[in-house]
Amino acid sequence: MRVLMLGWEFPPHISGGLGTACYGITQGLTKKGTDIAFILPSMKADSSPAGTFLRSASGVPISRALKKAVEKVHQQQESDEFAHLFMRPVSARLNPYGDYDFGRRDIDPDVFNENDQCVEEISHFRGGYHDDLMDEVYRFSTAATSVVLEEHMKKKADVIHAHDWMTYPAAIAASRLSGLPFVAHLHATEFDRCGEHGYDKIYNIERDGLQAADHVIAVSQRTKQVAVERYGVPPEKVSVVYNGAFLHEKVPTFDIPELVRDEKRVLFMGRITFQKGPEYFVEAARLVLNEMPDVRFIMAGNGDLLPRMIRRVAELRMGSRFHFPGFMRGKDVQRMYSMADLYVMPSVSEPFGIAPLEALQCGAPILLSKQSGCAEVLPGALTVDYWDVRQMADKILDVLNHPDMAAESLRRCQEALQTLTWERAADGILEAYAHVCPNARS
Amino acid sequence: MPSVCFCFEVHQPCRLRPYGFFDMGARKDYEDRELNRSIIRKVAETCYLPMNALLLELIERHQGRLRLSFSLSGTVIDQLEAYAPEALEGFKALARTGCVEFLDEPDNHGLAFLFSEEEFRATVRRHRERMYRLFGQQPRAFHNTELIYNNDVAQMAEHMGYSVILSESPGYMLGWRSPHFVYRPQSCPGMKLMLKSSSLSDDIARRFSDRSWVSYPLMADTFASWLHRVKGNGEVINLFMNYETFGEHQGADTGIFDFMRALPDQILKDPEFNFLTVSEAADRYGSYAALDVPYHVSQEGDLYPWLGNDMQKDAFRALCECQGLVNYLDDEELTGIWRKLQTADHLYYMSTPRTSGGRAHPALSPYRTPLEAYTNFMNILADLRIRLVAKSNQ
Repeated sequence: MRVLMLGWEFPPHISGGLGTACYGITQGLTKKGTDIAFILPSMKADSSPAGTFLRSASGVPISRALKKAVEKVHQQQESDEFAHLFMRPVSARLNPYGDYDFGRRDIDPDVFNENDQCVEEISHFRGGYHDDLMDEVYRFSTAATSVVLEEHMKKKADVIHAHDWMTYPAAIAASRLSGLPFVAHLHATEFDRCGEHGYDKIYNIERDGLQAADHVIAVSQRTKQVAVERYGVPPEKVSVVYNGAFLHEKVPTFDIPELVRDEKRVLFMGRITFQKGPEYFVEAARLVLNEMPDVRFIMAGNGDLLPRMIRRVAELRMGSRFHFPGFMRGKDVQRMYSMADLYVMPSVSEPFGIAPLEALQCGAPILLSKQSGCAEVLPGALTVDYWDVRQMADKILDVLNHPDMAAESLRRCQEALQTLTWERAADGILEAYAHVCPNARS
Repeated sequence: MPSVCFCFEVHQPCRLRPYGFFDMGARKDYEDRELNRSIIRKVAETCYLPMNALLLELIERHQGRLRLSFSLSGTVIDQLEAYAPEALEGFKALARTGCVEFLDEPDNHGLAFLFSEEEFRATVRRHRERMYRLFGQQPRAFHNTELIYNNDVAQMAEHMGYSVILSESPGYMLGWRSPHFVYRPQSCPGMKLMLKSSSLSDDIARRFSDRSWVSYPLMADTFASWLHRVKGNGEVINLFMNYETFGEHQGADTGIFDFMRALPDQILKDPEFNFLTVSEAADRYGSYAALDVPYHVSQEGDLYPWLGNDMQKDAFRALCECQGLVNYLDDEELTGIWRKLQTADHLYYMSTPRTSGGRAHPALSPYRTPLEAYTNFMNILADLRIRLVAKSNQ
């Protein structure tokens, strides 16, 4: 089984939640004997030791023919988004260049039109997220296709597996030109990120991708429901595969300064954006402080709502109890979780959510919004509707006032955590592959 | 016979180091010593040392006719003692000429007058002691932090025995009146009130090197002629400005030192003009009228630069909240730390523009944004509170 994966993040090359999940998936699949090539827009010069299978789409020569062919695919996509249901590239027997047997591997002959073999440009990507993201997403589709075809020719592949919308146009083009089936992995949708006020261009890419995909993997039931209801994907085409947790053999213990050892700390950690619901945490904090003035709140992370949150905390006059340590990395993340008496994830819409799994391993009880996918697999977790700040405050107070109850919830969550491995996720993914390629089990 | 009163404010805040969440309960050194050291060294080189030398030279040359006033905040004295003692010696040398008067101000450059008269008196007393110890003077003149003024401040100063107080003079406070007379604060019959001549002071402090200003480049004879115009409709001209104007805000290359070297001669060209220190002017001239100022006035009009937004109000609230514990513990170290945190600059760094055309970034702030200034300050304040509580539980 050989999988060509397309992704936008991979540790250590830009690593948010998506990168972490991609890393876990490749680890799990590799253990199951799957051969993976992971294609990224760009990589730092020094490649990670784990990433020997990583391929960068930067520095790839793009021929005029390939560019034309990819453009054609996208045009076709636009003119008739259901075209893929009826059309497959014709596998013509054509072998213009020596040993390669394109025909057998179903590669679209257009790409190798003799007249257009000259190299038009060398691809280059900044990677990550920035103002030119949309442009880069489309240019990536050409470069990634080129890499996919090259990898496929090097060694026959079975499936193209694309992670989130940035890579869907690439996957569509690569799938069409190589004839390989395309599995779309849905880690988050535009509705999660922006609610009802998403960017339609991104929505369109997501919809086209999910429609064009031969199979879809959703990270939770909640996400599957979104795919079905909002993107019109037939439910039988969607498999739910929960993310795994990186189980640490041993979580380091951190020394808490004596002066603050007995303080009660409630933590929010994540991007400070609409999706994560930071404002509900701030409002709940005010209600908690009215009852228990000694609690300390922490909002770690960065994001476009950070200035507004700081101003709101000032307005509520609780700046000496509510702290903003900024973006945390490395050991500081675990240190923060370890110090917390409660980790709150008040996400407005969270397809899965890996952070709570990390918090649990560091011994922090968790309070999740009911709108979080991971709540589906953590039955012991405390949950609350993200908008119900009064109840959120009550639950925070409960945890702080009744450590026994919090310990019990933590124990149950940690138990559930043990079953959440990336190997289990890999099994689910292989099952999903089986829907589109017969030898996935081999 | 109009008198010119030059009054120089010398001040540097004690800047705080980046203080993170994990530092709370673990580190109690809040000062960014390296930053403070490097800034005071730089300012000493560019301003304090050359300007002290220039003024000493001018005082000697004019044989007692050039008279000046100075005010040094306690925070800058601390830093001069630690990092630039030679500059402090320069101020002492100026004091020895007998032509320089030192004013009192709240030692920590703070806003205690807003929340506690007791605390206000404590900081002013500390400053008074320093003036005597360093310069052998017992100041009779007082000016509040950042020249903020109202009736209550005047009354507090009167209770402490001062005979004259300085104030800003924003237009809406003066109305049709001229700042070029001596006034008296309402309800303080025995006290004099001297007003900063804002426009003439800012011609030097702010506009001197402004190339878009119609009077650029400003020459000493031009400026002296503006002062001479006051003759006949005024008695005192208070030129109050930051000492760092000379060489620091207006760099040496702008010609500010040459300007100041030539200015006394140009002013004294008119034989009716003289120089006086603040107290001397208050003694010489009677008060023209009582001014009733129930609201706080400052250079920006009101307290907006320090207490204009919620971040500043929250920080100030949290600062005031510590007073009970500080007084209860009466611990020298903790009280000292708390007083240093009261310096108005810390609040000023959190200021946001009043209007969309305002300055987005507070001048001279060591922080990238007002938000950062706030969150960092609140971490430190939280730590101070943790220590105060811990100590009181011992």
